[in-house]
Amino acid sequence: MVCCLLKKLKGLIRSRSIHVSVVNTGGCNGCDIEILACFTYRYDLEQYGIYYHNNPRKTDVLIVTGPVTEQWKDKLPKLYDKVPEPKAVVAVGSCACSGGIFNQDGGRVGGGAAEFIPVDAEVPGCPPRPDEIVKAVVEVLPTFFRRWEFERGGGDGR
Amino acid sequence: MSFQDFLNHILSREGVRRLLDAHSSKKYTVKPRRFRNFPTIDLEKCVVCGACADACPVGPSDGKPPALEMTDKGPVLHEDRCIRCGLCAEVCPVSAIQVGTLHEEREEVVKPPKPAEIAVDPDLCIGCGRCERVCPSDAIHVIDGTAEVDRESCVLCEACIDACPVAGAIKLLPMDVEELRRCWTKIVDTKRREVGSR
Amino acid sequence: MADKAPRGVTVIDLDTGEEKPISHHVPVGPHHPILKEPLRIKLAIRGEEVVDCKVEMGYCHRGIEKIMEGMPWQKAAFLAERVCGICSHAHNMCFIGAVESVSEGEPARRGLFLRYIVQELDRIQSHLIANAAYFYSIEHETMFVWNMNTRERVLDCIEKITGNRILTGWNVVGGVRLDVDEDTLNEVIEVLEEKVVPDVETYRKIASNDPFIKMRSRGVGVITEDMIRRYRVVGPQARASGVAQDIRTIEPVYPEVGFRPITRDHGDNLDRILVRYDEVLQSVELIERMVEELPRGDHRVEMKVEGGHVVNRTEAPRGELVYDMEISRGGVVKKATIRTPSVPNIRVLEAIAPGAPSVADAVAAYASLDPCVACNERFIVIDRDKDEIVFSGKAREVLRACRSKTS
Ligand code: SF4
Repeated sequence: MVCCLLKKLKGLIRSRSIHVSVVNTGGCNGCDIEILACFTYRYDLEQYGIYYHNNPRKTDVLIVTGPVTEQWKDKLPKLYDKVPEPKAVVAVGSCACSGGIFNQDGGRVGGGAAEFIPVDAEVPGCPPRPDEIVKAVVEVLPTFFRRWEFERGGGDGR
Repeated sequence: MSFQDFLNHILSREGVRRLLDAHSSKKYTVKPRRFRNFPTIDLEKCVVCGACADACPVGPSDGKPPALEMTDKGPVLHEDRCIRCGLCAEVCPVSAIQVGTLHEEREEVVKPPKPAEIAVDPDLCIGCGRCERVCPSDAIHVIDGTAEVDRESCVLCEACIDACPVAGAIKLLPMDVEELRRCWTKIVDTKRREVGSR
Repeated sequence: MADKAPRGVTVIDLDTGEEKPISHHVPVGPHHPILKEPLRIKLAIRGEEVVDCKVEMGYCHRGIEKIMEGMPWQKAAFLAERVCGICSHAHNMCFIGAVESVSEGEPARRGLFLRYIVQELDRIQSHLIANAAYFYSIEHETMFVWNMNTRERVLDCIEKITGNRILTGWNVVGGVRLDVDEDTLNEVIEVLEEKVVPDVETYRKIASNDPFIKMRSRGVGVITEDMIRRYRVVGPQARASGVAQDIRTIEPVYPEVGFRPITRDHGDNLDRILVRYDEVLQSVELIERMVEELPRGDHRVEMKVEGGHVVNRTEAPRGELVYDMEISRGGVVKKATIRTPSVPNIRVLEAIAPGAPSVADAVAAYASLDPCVACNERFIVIDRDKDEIVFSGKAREVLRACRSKTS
């Protein structure tokens, strides 16, 4: 009982203070700019308790944009390992979902981020509007962190 | 009472409550006008000519289909590949594909309806001009011996009915209830969309 | 600190050949709090002072030119746009302009004007984000947020006209995709005049008077005329050093609305910021005049693509953008080479960072160059013997590889 309460409390606190880090794995910058726009007045993700840090060792969430290029294929899993444990990955833009327009004959990119690291949410669109990003992030992430203790359990995560 | 409810109860100040409610907020689900959305394919209209699949700039690669794949049942859209360029909608010969709201004209301005209207019986009107004199909003005028009402500026004050010397020449006709309800639903919808897009 | 340099660790100045002892290497990137895009900057520092700087690229290479080969222009235009998401309209326009110059007839006049109106709007938002990024790098959060907020208004205008915020897909051969009615253009001008111009004037006043910003920016990262010639720096970065080079002077439409390039003389961080603000205000004026003189008629005409070899240039927000293309009859791209302004603009960091009094100044100088890494990754070298990819980055290596192939 006490354990359950403790878990709930942990989840509640985690879901109210989420720090994100944006990784551009070789996209065209369009998605990055739209994510940056989410943190300014008009869309203001910080009112939901989501903060922008860009330091992978301090963050809970990696937001991946862009197709995974040749140079990033080994670096992206490394970066993912550096994020401390309750962690989620959001792929923003059709590039990060599936390689997008660059993943066709002649292109030198891997598929989406999901081929290299586990991805929890995808926001398709090229680029998605800030509204769409805000909606996806606000709907998925707090629930994810609230339930994390119960579903994944501490320690033996993915 | 669950633990979270308990916490909510403690923290029920306005700002904190908003924060807690934010996760179920549906405010962002509505798209603004004129944004280019994912294409919608009307399979009823489609003649399976394959023009859209040819035009799609996102080609196939090993393991991944093109964004608009042609199957024997018709075109299938893969949303995670689509870049929302709108070429498929441009080339479709039967306009079975529509892209978001890009090709739409501007929406007309919807004004709240009036619950009733002032009607003048032209047979009974004698064109004395008393109504014109008493009208506070300058909405009724005598033209060619008959009074005519400008519905836009009329405020339904009924001053003209009182002033008219002929009984029954000017009447107040209430609007049909069904009609009224339809108008109001439309307005509320539009307003909600505007608020959502802001 | 300088005396405690580990023995044997030296860096050789590649130009003069002299050896400098160093104390530390500070790698910045490819993923770093200050960088929005993947790029690796290697700084060699002695104490706090930066003694050497190397820029490594290649984290964004997607092979766009290769994908473009064998694509009709209708599809390739969307690919060209995705070279860079910030100045996307310039890429799209330059590509379409290249195809138009090898086709019969002239593009629609109204289409051309609409095209350049959107181009100027695009320039405004790009300059605002560049300045915002600079203020973020010197940790002036207020100005960052203000700049971004003004940019949102400009994006609204772009969305009103084209139907998308960025990556608009607005140009087609012969004109533009959709016609714009007068009301929309008037609304846009209203927003620009009432919201954007007063805001930008305030920002310019703050940037030129605030003692804190002055301390961090005046005299830091000076680009001299000599460097401009050696590294071929283009765009506002060159104009801030007094070199009045601007492709807009030879583009259509601009001479008709009375365009003259803006220059400043110091060539340091602050001047680069101020030149951008000046250009934003100038762009608003240009848009107003273009809307005034907007001709009536079709927004798009049919043009038959004849094919051939063509070099087309545009003034992108960051400087001169060149598309060198071979196009076949019917409009299929045979070969494309893109030269983006960011290539020389980022490389000049190797010249201005050494001598910076601290790492923070080097980073601020980097941000003030308006770097766009996504634009940057334009070539790839393959080592046939080992059958492996030698990525760009070390430009000298690439140069050597190219020379050994051709000589
Ligand atoms: S999804 Fe589109 S906007 Fe986002 S990085 Fe890829 S090409 Fe650019």
